[in-house]
Amino acid sequence: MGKGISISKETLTEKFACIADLVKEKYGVNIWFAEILGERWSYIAGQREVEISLLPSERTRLNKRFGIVSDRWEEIPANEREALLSSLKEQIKIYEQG
Amino acid sequence: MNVKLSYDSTEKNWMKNVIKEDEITKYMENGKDFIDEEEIWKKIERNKAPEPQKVRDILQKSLAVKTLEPDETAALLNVEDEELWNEMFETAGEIKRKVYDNRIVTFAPLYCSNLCVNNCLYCAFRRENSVEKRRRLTLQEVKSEAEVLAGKIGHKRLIAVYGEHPTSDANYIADTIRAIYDVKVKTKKGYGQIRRVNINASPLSISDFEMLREVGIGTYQVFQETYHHETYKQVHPAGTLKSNYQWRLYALHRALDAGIDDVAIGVLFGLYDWKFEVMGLLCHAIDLERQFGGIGPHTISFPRLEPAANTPFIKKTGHKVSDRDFKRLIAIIRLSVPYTGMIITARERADIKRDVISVGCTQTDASTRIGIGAYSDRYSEQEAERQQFILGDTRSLDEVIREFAEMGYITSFCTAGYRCGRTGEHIMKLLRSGKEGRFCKLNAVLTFREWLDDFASEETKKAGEKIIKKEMSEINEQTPSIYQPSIYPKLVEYYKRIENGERDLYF
Repeated sequence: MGKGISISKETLTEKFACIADLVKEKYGVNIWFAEILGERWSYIAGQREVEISLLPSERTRLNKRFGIVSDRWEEIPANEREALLSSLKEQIKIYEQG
Repeated sequence: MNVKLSYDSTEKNWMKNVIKEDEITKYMENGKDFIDEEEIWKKIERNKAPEPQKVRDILQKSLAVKTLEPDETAALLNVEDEELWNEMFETAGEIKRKVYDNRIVTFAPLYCSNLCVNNCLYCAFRRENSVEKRRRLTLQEVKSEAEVLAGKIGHKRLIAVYGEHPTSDANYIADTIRAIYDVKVKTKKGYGQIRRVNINASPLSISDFEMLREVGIGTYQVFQETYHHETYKQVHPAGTLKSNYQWRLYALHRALDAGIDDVAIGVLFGLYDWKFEVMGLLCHAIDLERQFGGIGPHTISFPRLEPAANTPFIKKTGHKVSDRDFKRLIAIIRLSVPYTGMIITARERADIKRDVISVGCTQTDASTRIGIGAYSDRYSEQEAERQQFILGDTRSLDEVIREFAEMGYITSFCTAGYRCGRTGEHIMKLLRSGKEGRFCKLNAVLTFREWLDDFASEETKKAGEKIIKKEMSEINEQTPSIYQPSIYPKLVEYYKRIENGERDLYF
C-alpha cells in the first residue's frame, strides 16, 4: 500500500465482516473479529448467527489490539490461513497508522 | 427532607465537571426521555382483566425469546387468576432453561469504597449518615480482597462496587480493575483467578467509559433505583449529582456508545409501585435495543429495600414489595425480556431465593460480604456501620452450591463468552436463538469440576459430582440432535485435563 492511504474504524469493521462472509462461503468456517481489551475480546464483526458450531472457540491474536476467533480454524488449509492472517495484519497496520 | 450538605473545594470542583448535558440530550426524542408515565399508567389500566387466551398468546411470544411490547407486559401484570399465574411461573422457568440451560452463575460483590457525595434517603452510604465508617481501599487492599475471593472461596467473577466520589472516579475504578485481574493464587489442584470483573458505579461520561473499556471491564451495571420521576426527585435530594434523573437514565446509552457492549439495569423495589417499575425496566430495555442495534440489558437486577444503619426512611416507605409480588415481578421480567440474565442477590433470605430461583433467575452471589475490606478482614458477623444495607443470606458459597445441586441445578463459573467475542450483538443473537445455553451447559460442567476440586467440602463434592454426571449424560443423549458428534469427546478430554490440574478450558 502506498503512503497516505488510511482507513477508518467503520471501513475496517466492514472489511472484517466481508472477509468473514468470504471465509464462510469458501470454507464453511465461522470466523469473527474482536478487539482485545485486557481480558475482554469484544465483538466487532463477522459470523454471529445461529449457525455457529459448539466447538471450542479458538483465538488468534492479529496484533496487540485485534484478534480473530473461529470454531473450526484448522479446516482452512494452512497456506491459505497464513495468507489470510498476513492480509488481515496488513489491513490493521494501515488502520493503526491512520 | 432536604438537608444542607457541605462539600470541600476538591469535591465541589469535581462535581461541577461530572455531568455533561450534551451526553444526555443526544439520546432524547423531542426533549423527552423514554419514561412516559402517563402512557405507562394508561397501558396498565387498559389491560385490566386480560382474557386467558390473550395471556397464553403472550407466553408463546416470550417462549420464542422475543421482547414483549409494553401493552403485553401490562396485561401480564394484571393477571389475577392463580392457575394462570402458575402457568406464567412455569413458562418463565422454561424460558430460562431454553436460554441459559440448567445452570446458575455465581459471583461476589467487592465493595471498594463507601465515600459518597450523594445523599440518597434509602442508603447507608449517604453523605449525611455520620455513623457510617468511611473507607476507600488501596490497590493493595483490593488485591487482598480478590486473593481471598479467588484463592479461598473460589469465585471467578466479581462485581466491584464504588460510591460516587472524586477519590473513586474512573481512574480509580480502572486501577482497581487492573489490580483484580492481576491476582493469581495457588489452590489445591490448580490456581484461582478472577476472570471477569463487572462494575457497579455511578454514571460516567463517554470518555470515562472509554477508559474502563480499555482495561477490559466485564459488564457495566447501574440501577435507575426508581423510574418514577417524582419519587426519584424525593429520594435523591436536589444539589447532589444523583438528583439528575436523566444523567442516570442514559448512563448505559453512553457506556454502549463508548464500546462497552455488556450493560446491566435494575430497580430498587420498594421506592414506588412495583408494577410501574417493571414497565420502566421494559421501556429501558426497549430503548437500548432500539438505539443500539438490538443490544438490550445483559442482566436485570431487582433488589428490594433492606434495613440499613441509621436509615429510617426504609421503615416509612409505602411501596414495600411482598414476597408474593416479588416472585410475580421476577417471572414477569423473565417473560418480558426473555434473553436477559437475571440476578437475585444475597439481600434476599435463603428461603426466598429457594422459592424464586425457579422462575427465571440466572445468577446469584454467595459467601457475600459487603463491608469495605470485609473479605480479607474475615469478620463473621455483619457490621451495619460499614455496609450499605443488611444481607438476608450470609451462607457460604459451599452451602449455596450444595443446595443448588440438591435442587437439581449446576453452578457455573463460566466466563468464556466475553473472552472470545461473544459480546454485544453477537451474544444477543446467540441468546435469542437458544444457542448460548448450549455453551452454558458445556462450560458449567468444566468450571464446576474446577471448583469442586479446588474448594468444595466432601459433602458438596458428592452432591456436585452427582449433578455433573447427570449433565454429562444429558449432553451425550443430546448428541447428535443438539451437540455435534465431536463435542462430547472434546468435553470428556477437557474434563480429564481439568481433573489433572489444568485450568480455564472452555467452549
